[in-house]
Amino acid sequence: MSTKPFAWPRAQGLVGLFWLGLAGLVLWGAAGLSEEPDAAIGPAFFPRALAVALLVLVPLYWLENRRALAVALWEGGGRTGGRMAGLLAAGLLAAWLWEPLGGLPTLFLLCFCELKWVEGRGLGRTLLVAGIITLTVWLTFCRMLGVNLPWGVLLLWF
Amino acid sequence: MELAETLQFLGQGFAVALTPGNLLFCTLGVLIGTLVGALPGIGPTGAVAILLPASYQLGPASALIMLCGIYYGTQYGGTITSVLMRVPGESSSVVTTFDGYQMARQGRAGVALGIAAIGSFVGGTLSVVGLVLLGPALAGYALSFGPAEYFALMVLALSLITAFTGKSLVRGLMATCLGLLLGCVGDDVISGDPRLTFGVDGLLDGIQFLPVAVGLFGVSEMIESLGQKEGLEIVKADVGWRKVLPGRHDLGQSLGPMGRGSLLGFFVGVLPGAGATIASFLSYGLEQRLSRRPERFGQGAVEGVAGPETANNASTGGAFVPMLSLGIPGSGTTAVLLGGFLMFGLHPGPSLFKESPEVVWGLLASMYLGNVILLVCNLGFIPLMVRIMEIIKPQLRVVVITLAVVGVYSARNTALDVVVMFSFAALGFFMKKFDFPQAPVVLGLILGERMEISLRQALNVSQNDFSIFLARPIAAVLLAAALLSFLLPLLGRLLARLRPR
Repeated sequence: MSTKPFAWPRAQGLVGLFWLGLAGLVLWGAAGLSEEPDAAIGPAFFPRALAVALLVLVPLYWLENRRALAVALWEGGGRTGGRMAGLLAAGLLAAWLWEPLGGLPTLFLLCFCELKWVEGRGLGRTLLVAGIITLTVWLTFCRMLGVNLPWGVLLLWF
Repeated sequence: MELAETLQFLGQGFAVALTPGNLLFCTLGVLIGTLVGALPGIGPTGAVAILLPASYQLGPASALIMLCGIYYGTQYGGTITSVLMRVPGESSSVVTTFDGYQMARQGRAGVALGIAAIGSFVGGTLSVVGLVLLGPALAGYALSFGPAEYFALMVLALSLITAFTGKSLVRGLMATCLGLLLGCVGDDVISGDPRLTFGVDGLLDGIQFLPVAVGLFGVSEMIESLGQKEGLEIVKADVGWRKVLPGRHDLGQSLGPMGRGSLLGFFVGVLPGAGATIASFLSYGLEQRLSRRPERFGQGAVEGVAGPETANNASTGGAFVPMLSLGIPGSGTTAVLLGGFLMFGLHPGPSLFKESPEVVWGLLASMYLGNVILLVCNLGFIPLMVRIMEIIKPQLRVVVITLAVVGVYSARNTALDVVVMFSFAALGFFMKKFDFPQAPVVLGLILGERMEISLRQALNVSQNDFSIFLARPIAAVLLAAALLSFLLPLLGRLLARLRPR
């Protein structure tokens, strides 16, 4: 694996834009909120005040970082970045499949993706560890703690 | 509250903590905490956040006893890797690497671990005594607080966290704003209007703190660990039962640092935003200054292990004082623990000691027991801990992700929380890389709603007159302290620039 850090030059500019976007979103979201005539502040006051605070802070953040070096995000080049993105994608896919596929099958799939493709383990070990983890979750969460995970496709068999 | 009454409640607390179930969960908590602390990558906040939803089924007393056990267990666990690998499992154990690792290289790893275990026990136990004496007294005083005082108190807590965590005040403030904004999402508590939901029905109940905390502290660490070098080597050391018992000379040299570390750690822990890391560094500096031979520090001085290890454990007891008596968490971990209290319908603050004495006093009593269990485990099972650590480490990532997904889903039975968790994991990763502190986000999310309610109630009481915050003395003092917390670091930096080189 390459040990060269993956750095992002002038990323602080984009980070500042993210915060500006967030402030804009909040101001837009708070625009339609009703005002309370008898109260000094209504439901829109707090989010608006915070959004304005962000608008003030972003230029200060840029000023503070005007001479900042590129930020090293990870070691190991683009491949490591791909593994990180893969882990996030697997998690979001698991959330999407959770109800239709069922909790336990989705967990098995998530463990499989994580071990096989993110961590690069062998097929046999991946299946074994994913199986053990899924079984342990079923025993501890479902049987012992009484957590109700969605059945999904398992309803076809049980 | 009088001392006799305190002791009576504490006795009742022991009756709760000594039930077999609670004793088991306390042991489980400190063991998990020790392991988590020893494993670089997952901190106490992440561990508590991940296991919080899983503990929901245990009931409030057992769950909180276990979660608090994890919290103070982590403070010792980080020592094992600091001494044997020169890799601090926790930031509060960084300072232990200075002398602990040198002791290990000199063949005195057992003594370093033993002194650290005894120091952790002394610091942990004395800080619980401080908590028992100070907590109820502070809670009794805070009963007279009105909305103006509460608003000012929350401003102070947020300002201290913002000012003292992270490297930049601006970034701390931005993170705090994000946390407070997250607290605004959902139905407005006074008017009932939906706010910042953007038409998503799932957001009407607001953004829950649990997926945010687990994502920011737990899952983001796992994502980050993919981009770090691995292959840590453990120093081969004899850390058997006999080797970890320190001799009379080592113990004699450590007693002073342990006493000072306990006091320092406790009072630093009480301050929001300070915490275990600052306590351990302050203790190290103090011991070095007081030493007749300061040049030994960094070369394997036993006082350099005893003081900081005592201080970091003592700070955990101190951190519970504002959390239990005022409902104001002073760190990321106590913020998550506060969320745990809220999850069980308990509201930390002045009335908690009266409304749920069995939970609070059971928890306090369990801390005494937990420190004894921690001492026994750490003196007797260090080789076992090292072995378990080696086995778990390769599977840590997949285990944490699985626990996070199941735990977060089971809290409300909605997959939306899993999506929120992974979104905040990505955000947490970038926040860390760009040096934005994460603790103010969770603290802002938890305190945001109460802060806004207090502000609006105070203005209702004063008929929209903002001078109420200056007219009420306690509120004015708290707000002045909040302002000072921002100004002092700035003044310090200004003075440093003006000082001639």
